[in-house]
Amino acid sequence: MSTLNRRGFLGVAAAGTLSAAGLASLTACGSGAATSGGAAKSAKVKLPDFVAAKTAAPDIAGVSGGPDPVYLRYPANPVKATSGAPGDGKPISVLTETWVQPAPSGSSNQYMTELNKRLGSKLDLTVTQDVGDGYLGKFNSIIAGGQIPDLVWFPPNQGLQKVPALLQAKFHDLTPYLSGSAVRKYPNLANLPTYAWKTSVVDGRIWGVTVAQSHFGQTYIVNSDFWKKVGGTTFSSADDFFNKAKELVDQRTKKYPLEPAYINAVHLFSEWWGAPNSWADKGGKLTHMFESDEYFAALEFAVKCFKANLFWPDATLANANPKVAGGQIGAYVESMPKAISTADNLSWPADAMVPFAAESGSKPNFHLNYGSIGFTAISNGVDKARIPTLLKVMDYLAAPMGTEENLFLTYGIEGRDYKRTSSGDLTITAKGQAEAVTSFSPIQNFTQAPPYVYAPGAPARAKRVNEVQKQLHAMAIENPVNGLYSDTNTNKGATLTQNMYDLLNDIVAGRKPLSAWKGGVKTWRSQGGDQMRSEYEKALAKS
Amino acid sequence: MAQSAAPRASRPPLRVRFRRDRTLLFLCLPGVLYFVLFCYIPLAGNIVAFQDYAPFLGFSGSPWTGMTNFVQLMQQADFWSAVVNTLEIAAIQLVLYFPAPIALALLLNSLVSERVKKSIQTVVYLPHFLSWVVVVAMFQQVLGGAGTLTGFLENHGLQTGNIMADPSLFKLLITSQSIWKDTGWGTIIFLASIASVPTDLYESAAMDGAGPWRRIWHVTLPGIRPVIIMLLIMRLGDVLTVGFEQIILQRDAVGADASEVIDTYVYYHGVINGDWGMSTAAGLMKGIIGFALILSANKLAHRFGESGIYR
Repeated sequence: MSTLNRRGFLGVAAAGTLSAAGLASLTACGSGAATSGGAAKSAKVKLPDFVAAKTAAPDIAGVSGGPDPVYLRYPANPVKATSGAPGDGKPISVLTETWVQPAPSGSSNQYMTELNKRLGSKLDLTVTQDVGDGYLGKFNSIIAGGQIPDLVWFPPNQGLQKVPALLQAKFHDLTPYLSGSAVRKYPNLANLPTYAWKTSVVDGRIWGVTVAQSHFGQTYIVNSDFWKKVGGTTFSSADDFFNKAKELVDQRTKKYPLEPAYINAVHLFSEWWGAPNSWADKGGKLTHMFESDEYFAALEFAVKCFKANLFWPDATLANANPKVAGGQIGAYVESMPKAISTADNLSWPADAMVPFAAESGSKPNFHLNYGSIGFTAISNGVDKARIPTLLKVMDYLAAPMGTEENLFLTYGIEGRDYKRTSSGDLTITAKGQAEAVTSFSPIQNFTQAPPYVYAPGAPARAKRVNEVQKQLHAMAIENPVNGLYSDTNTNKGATLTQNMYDLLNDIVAGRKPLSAWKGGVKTWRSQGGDQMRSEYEKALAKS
Repeated sequence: MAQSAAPRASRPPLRVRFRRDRTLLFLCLPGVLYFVLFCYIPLAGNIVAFQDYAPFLGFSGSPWTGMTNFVQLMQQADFWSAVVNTLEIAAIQLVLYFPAPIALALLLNSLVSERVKKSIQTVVYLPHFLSWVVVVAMFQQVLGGAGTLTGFLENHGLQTGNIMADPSLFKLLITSQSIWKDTGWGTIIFLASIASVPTDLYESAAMDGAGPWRRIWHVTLPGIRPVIIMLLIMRLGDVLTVGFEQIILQRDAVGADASEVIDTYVYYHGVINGDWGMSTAAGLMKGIIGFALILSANKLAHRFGESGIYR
C-alpha cells in the first residue's frame, strides 16, 4: 500500500531538483553554524553495502532502475526476516506523515496493539496529514518547540530548511552504524537499494535510514468510467485531449476532468511536450525546466484548460481521490502509477494515463524520480546506547515482500484485516481498510520495504501497473543531476522553486498574465538558478 | 465615567487602598498572571528580530545581525503588499464591520416581546462559536465554484464566476464572513450599555414629541457613546490583526497578492520558510504600530471630551 499521494508530495517531485540529491545536497546554510563545501564530502562517503534478501521470487522480475517486481498473488509461505522483538520495552516517538485518512485511535485499533507487541516497544506516532501546510508546518513547529521525537522523517522535497545545521545540532551521525559493511547487522536495511541511500547523505555523513520508493513518480490516475464517453484516455495530441476533456465538463452535475492541482498539472502536461526532468543536459550544458520552451508550452496549455473550466472549480480542494473514485473528477495526480494497485483504490475503475505527443514533432517523456522519499534520522536526545535498538526496529519495518513481517505490516491481522481466498491469495476486509491501511500509511512513510507491485486479490491490476511502468520506462528520462550536489540548491533551491510555483499558480488561475513567467525565470536565474547550474555543470564534468 | 478625576494629592496611602481593594486585586490575579505569562514574558523573544535565528541553535547560539532583518524586510515587495492588504482590510472592517453590532443592538433593543428578543439573541450568538474552518467551508458550499448558489445560477443560465476565487472580491468576502460570524456576539456589550440608559430620558423625549428615530439619535446613541469610543480605541490597537486562520484557509483560492496580510506573512516566512528573524521583525513592527495607534486614538478621544480607556 504505497499511496504517497498528491500534491504535497511529489508536487514537488516536479521540482526534481529537489527530488534527487535533494536532501543530500542540502548542505550549509546561512545560519553561520554550518560550513559550505559539504557537497564535495558527500560524494565520497561509503554507502551501506547491498545484500539481497532471500525471499520468494516475483512473478514478473523487476528491472534495476525500471519497472518494479510484480507479485500476482502473495507468496505462499512467508519467511521470517527477523528474530525476537527488536524493541527495548520503552516507547519510541516518531514524527511522520500519512497519505490516507487517520487511523482509529486507542485500543479499538488492534493492528497497532499487535504491532507494538511484535516490536516490543510502543510506537508513539505524531502523524501529520497532507492538508494546508502539512508536514513542513508541523516539522518546523516541532523543531522550534525543542521536543524532538526519537525518530524524525526528513522528506527531500517539502522545503525543509537549514537541514545540515539541524542534523548536526540535534541528530546522531549514523555513519558508523550504517556505512559499508556495518549495515549487515541489519539485514533488511542492507536489502535497501544503494541508489536510495544517497538521500541519507549530507555533508559527507549518513544521517538516517533511507525510505526507498519506486522510480516511477507522478502520473495522472484516471477513473476509466469518466472517460468512456470519449473513448478512453489515449489521446493523439494536446488538442485532442483538450477537446475531449471539454466535452466531459458538466457544470450542472458538477463533473470536471481534472483536479485543481495546477503545479502537478503543468508538470505532467510538460511531459507531453518533452520538457526536461528538472534539468536537461546537452553536452555538459544544463537547462532547467523553468527555462524550457516545453514547460512554457505546458503552462500555456494549463491556462487554456483553466479558462475552459477543465479543472475542478475550487482550488482549495484538499483531497481529490474520493471525488475521482466517485466519478465527479476525471483524473488526479498520484505520486506513482502503482497507486492503481493499492488496496484503497481497488474498488473503483482506476487506471493510469501514459504521456503522449502534445503536437506533431514533440517527443513525450516520463520523469523518473530518485527512488527514495528521504530518510529517517535519530534525535540526539536519544541515548547513544539505544541507537542499535532503534535501527533494529527500523530493520523490522523494512522487512521485504514475502516475509511474515511484511505481510503483517502491510495487511494486518489474518482473519480480521485480511482473509485468504480459496486459491491462497489475500483479500482485504472492510476492517482492514479502516484499520490496517490507515495505520500502515504513516509507518511505511518513515521506513518501508524495497518497492514492489502487488494488488491483494486483483492480479489484473498488478499486471496493468507493470504494463504502464514498461510503457513509461520506454520513454523515461532521468534527472541528469541525480546524485550530484550543489550548495546553492541546498541554500536556496526550496525557496526559489516555491516562488516559481506561486507564480505558476497565479498564472494558471488567471491572476497574472502568461507574460509574467519570463520575468519570474529571470529572477529565478539571478537569485540562484544560474549559480546552481554552474555548480551542477562542474559536478557533472567531474562525474 | 466621571470627567473630573479626584485630586491626586488627597488619595489615601497605598496600604489603606490595598486593604480596601484587596478582593478586587485578588480577582484580577489570574488575569494578570495570564498577561505576564503569555504576553509580557514572550516579549523578550523579540530579540530574535535582531538575530539570524535558528530554533535548534537557540537564542545564545544564533548569530546577531543587528538591524539587517529590518533592512531586508523593508526591501521585500511582498512585505509591503502584505502591509497594504492589511491596511485595506482594516479600513473596510472599520467602516463595515465595526458599526454592524451597534445597528443590530439597536434593532434588538427595539423589539418589544422579551421572548422574541431572547430567542433572536441566542440565534445571532451562535455563529461566534463556530470555528473558521466550519465558517469558510459553509461559505464554500454556498458561494464556491462548485457551490449551491453558483450551481443554481448556472442552471438558470447565469454565469457568475467563482466568488470565492475572485481576488478583487476577497476583502469584501472576508469582511462579510466576519460580519456573519461575529456581529451577534458583538452586540452583548452594546445591549448592556443600552440597558443602562435611564428610561426617564426616553419618556421625556417622547413627551416632547420625539419619534423612535429621534429617540435613538438623541437619547440612545449619546448614552452609549463612551462605550462606542472605548471599543473603537481598543479596536484600533488591534486593527492590524485582520484575521489569520480565516485568511490562511482561503489564501490558495485567490493567491498571495490579494490575501497576504502581516500575520500570514509572519507565519509563512517564519514558521514555514524558517526565516524567523525577519518575520519576527515584521511582527515587532506590527506591534509598535498598534501601540502607537492606541496612544493616538486615546489622545484623540480626550480631545473630543471622552475619557477613552485611560487618562
